[in-house]
Amino acid sequence: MASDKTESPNRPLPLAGIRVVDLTMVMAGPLATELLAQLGAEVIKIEAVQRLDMWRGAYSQPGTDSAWEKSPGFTGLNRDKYGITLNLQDKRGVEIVKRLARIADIVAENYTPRVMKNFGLDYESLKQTNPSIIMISMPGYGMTGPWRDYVSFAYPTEMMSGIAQLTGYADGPPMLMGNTGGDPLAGLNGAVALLIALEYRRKTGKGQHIDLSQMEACTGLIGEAIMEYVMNQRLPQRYGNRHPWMAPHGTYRCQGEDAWVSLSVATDAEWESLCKVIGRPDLVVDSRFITSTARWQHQDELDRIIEQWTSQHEPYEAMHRLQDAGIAAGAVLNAAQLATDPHLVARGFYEDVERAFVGKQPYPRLPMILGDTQAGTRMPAPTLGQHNRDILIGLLGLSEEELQDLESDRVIGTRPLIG
Amino acid sequence: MTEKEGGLPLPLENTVVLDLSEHVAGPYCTKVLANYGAEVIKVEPPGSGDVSRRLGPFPGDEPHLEKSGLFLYLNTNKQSVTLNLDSSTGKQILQNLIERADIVVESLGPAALSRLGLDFPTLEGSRPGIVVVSISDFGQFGPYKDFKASHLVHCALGGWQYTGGDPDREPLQAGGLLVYYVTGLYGAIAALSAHYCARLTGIGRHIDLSTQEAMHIVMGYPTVRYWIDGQTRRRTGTHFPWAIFECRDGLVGCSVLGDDQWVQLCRFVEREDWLQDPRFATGPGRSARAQEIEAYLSSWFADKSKEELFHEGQAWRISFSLVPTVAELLELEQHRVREYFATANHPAAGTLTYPGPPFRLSETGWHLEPAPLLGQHNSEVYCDRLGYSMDDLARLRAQGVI
Repeated sequence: MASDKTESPNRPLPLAGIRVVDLTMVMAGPLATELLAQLGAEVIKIEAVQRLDMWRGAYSQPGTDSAWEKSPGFTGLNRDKYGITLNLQDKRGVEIVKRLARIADIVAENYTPRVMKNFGLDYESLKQTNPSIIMISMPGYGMTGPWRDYVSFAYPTEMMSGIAQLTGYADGPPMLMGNTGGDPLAGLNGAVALLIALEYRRKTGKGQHIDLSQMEACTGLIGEAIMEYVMNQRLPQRYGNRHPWMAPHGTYRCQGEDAWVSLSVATDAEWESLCKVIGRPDLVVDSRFITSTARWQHQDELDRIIEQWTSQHEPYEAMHRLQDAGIAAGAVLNAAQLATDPHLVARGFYEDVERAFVGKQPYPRLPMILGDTQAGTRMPAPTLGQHNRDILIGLLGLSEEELQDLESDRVIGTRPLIG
Repeated sequence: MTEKEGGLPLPLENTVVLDLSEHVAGPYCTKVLANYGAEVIKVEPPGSGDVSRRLGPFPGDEPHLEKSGLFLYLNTNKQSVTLNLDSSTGKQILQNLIERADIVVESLGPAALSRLGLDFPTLEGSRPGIVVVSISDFGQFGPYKDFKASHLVHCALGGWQYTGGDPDREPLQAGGLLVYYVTGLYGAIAALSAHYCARLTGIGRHIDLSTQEAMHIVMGYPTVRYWIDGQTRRRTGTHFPWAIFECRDGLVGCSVLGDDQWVQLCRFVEREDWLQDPRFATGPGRSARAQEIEAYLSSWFADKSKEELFHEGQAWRISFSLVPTVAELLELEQHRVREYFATANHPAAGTLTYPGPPFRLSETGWHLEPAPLLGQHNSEVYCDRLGYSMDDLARLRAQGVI
């Protein structure tokens, strides 16, 4: 951290020396391994030219040349990983995964239970080749139970976990949050699970298999809503942008197109400050707004008064004037504003990474500053099969001939096989 | 290692965590560690305790420091001591507590530890290898470091809100307290990875975790997208290919990712003609006709039950889901078979059902002990661990230190 100048410099990345074999795709699994990669682990990502990571299509412009190499989602989520291709329908591909697992600490996958079993790459099989291996499986609904083989692509987890029932306008139906759903929430849990298993192995030498149900992991994130029902047999409400007891508490239109500011008032003192900022000191003694309960009951009127003021200001300007007066307020930032937000920029949140096909762009770092460790992206996201040679020859000791055979038989490759 | 329920050892046994955090993010971080066996000592202000003790939900809506559902959920498996950090004796005791901890998690605010005379170099000097995780709204430095925040304000400044909600209405925050839970998970990742390294190398570290930054990755790299192709995604509401529909007896969710899922869906809902229609051939093409697709699906779903749609859709390998309320969640067949929900008996709040473990490990277990009463473990921690006498304790209590 910038202020801790007396720390001794250059602490190692915390997970230096950990090797991960990564069979995951899309977002949940790749986020779990990305977090480990950015914390220092060596992650070997496995795709197939017959079956690319679907996330290579994430937000990329369809129809463009080499579109699979230009996905902002993929290039963000797979930094610091080596990338190889292996056709697991070919037994040589499976054999290579096993050889990698033999010299790895962790194997990660996020499919329904039958997929790895069919390849002969389930935990029981991998344990034969490496007894201390840690393996994580993170299917939508877990490795056991009647739904174990049910599919879950992205948004079902947000719905199934109960999160969607809490999101929405107060007068409307349940909604999705509008970002990438339950996947990243499960991915974060996956990284935690792997770190716990690593600590246990450090102490005992024992590996194990992690069963992460994405639905269960996400339900853990609405604990207070579950407690409300358990205690009072009452379903938690959707509040929209309002709050069970704070008022005013909402999102108000500002000057500009689709421009908004959100604010929350928790105390009488904050309310008095707000009245001054919006040029309405008379409201401090207005009986409709004199207590937080009164303000809560008259929110519709209150919101109209506040919006008269916010609509004359731009979001950042409104935010600063409110924050200067001690009121919790934030401009509603879109992607362009986030990318240039003065606070995020001042904290060094974005770092330039040069990547083939897309050039040099700013990417967000981990949301944590690791003391004086020289953190930061060491390697851009791999192009398809970029490290086939490095890993297969350099790490596993295959011969040039074997590599060429694998290539001509399309067990490995660097261009997708379409159709 | 101690054998716990199911005869499995707890993986984080012998890891000592000193928890100086409150509200949701820090406590969720340490709850996850405590779930799996870490010894978490929670330090609370005497009298009032963690702010979440005063936030509901409460049984019968009657506020009670020992009965907040939020506090009870977030603080299972922890010990509670009270300590007044404004007193010099309190600071001394805090230092003693830190000296026997492996990990400190705090949310006291930027530079608060330094003000207590406990900046990281000092702590590291007296306890080499210590890991300190500082969790705050906007980080320990930067222009917004002293900004006030709420869940809503975080959704605004973290970037979630702009893409949430309907296009013709105001942007919408995420439900619940999700922002803080996400931050808590990052806290656990920070603590565990740094602790792992510290045990191997003897080198600890201080981590500055910002809630605003923690929200970023959950959006799938919108700023990278902006830099690569200039796109700034706007809110689209909850619409096909990811939508929630009303059926005969409730809601059903449908998530159609990719062409394979689309083909299966068309067959399932008896619209094979769509497969011949070039306007529906690509994802963007289908999104442009979302209204038409949704109208048909709504009418096709209308007379069917949610269970029937969910299970039959899944038989076709289509990613259908339920949209359970909390009441329905507690009864889901999958949760029942996997015994996800668990109960704990709390001395003040009684026996309650709690969400279970977020993941299970094959060789190690988890446990569930109820959240502590305020200061419940004062004598255990101060006398048994730090060596104070019962007389000392009485004196500290009289001085308002504990």
